[in-house]
Amino acid sequence: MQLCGKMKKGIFFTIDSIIAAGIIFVVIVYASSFYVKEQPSFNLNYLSQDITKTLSTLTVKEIDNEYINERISSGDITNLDNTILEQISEFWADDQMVFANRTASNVTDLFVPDNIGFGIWIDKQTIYSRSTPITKSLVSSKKIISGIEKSQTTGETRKNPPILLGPVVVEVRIWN
Amino acid sequence: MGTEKNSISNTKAQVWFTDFVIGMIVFSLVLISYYTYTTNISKEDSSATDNLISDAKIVSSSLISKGFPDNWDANTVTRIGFTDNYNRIDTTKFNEFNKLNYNKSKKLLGISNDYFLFFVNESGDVQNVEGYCGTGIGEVNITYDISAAYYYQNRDEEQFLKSFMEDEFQAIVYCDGGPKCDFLSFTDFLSDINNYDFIVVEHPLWSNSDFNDFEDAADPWVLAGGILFVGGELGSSQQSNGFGVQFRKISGQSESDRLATVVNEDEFIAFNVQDNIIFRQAFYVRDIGVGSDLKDIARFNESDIEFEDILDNKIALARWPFGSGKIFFFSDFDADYLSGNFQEILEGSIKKSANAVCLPVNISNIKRDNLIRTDRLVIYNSDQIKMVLYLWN
Repeated sequence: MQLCGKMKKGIFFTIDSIIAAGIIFVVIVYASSFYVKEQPSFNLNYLSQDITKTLSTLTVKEIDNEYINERISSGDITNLDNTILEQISEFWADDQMVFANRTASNVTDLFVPDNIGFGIWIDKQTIYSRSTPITKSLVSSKKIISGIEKSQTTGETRKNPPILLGPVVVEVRIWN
Repeated sequence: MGTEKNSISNTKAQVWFTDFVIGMIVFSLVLISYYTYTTNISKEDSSATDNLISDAKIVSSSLISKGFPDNWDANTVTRIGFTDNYNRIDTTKFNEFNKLNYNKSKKLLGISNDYFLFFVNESGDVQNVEGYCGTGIGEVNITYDISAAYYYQNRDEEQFLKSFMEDEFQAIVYCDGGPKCDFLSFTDFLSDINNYDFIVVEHPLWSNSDFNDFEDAADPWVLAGGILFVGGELGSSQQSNGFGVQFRKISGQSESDRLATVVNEDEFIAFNVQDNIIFRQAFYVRDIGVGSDLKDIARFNESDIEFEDILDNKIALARWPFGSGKIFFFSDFDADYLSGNFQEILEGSIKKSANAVCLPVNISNIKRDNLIRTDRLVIYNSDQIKMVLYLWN
């Protein structure tokens, strides 16, 4: 009878110690999580600048892109010296929003990771935007674009000048 | 009896209290030590990481700039940058950057941490930019996905491209089958030729029949897209014909006979126009069927002094397309280039011309505590690619 009581006490203390050790472990892990410093996402800043720069440097005749080649073949793109951003702006000015949207997504999607939000706005109007929610930070890079409207040539007289496009503010936003 | 009971129960309580106090003290000490230690580690890590991030920003911004001075080269550079300031890679500056010694490049970039940079396309495949799959610390292994072969004559003389071909492209080596040849024979070379994408033949000095056998085997191979680099004497008759040209030897072999001048800039072979090259042996090619596609890069001076007069002389260095393939001819792979290192330029040309596909960059063998990766978007030959920069300590 006495032996039985002693054994019960032993079992009681083992369970106690396991519970106590578990609590201590949880507290340490939880407290340690406050010491983990999240690294700043400086790559986002560079990504928005780089996309703006490359799209305002590459011309539609240079880039090897299936969608843009299709638009050239179909005659939707007439000025092959346009940069990609100028072309997107021209589509926007001509109210060809589907072309503008698909051009923007085709030339950028593969370079922006899927978990990163990305969008292009012209004069605050959305051309293309991913549905990724903003949870931490958003970086924006802007460029002023202007040019001659589609089908307008530079050979016009002062009395009959070509219709100009812009200036418009093209904004590239990246977020996570 | 009652007093005795109380005394026992008090003693029990004291034992438990002492146990508890000691336990608490030990526990507190362990907890304090743990946090003191981890906080210090964390501070050290944080400082090292901040330092790396700062270096990553400095280096990537510098590389994406146009550098200083405007037209810098490996000798004049004070700030490294190889784009036009609009993220388009300036290939001349990029090649100059690759000529820099690694430690000098770190010093110019102003960093103490180690670095490695490479380029990837939209699918994440490593890109061959100007013949380089990556640049930076030498400990990172760069490998090409190319099937290459190297053929040389079995002599006591130095082979200028043998080690390069073996180390860089894991080339299969062939030689003429003589007693000093420990590699595969000429017969094997001919039978295996269609297995390769890229072949270098260095001063083979074949007999007429061997040259003809080589030409018979190599002709359809080049036509189908093979890339062939030849240097030195091919056939012993000095009048070997093949691939749309005649390969010949200059009768005199004095220094003035071997002196050549660069007459055209070339996208693959980076010599400066009007610079001189002295080949160890003087061989030349004469066009008999290539036509205007034959690009002369250097011509022998012969007895001429004026640059304009040299433009009609014998061709010491040339390249031409042959079907879907390309042929590069060098009078000799042993030469002195008065404005630089001939061997380095030759090896750079081979890397660039071979158009080898780069295999993924593996940095797992690098010993490091902290590692930072920075991606920048750049333009190379009208393509958008990503520059990936790794920095670590």
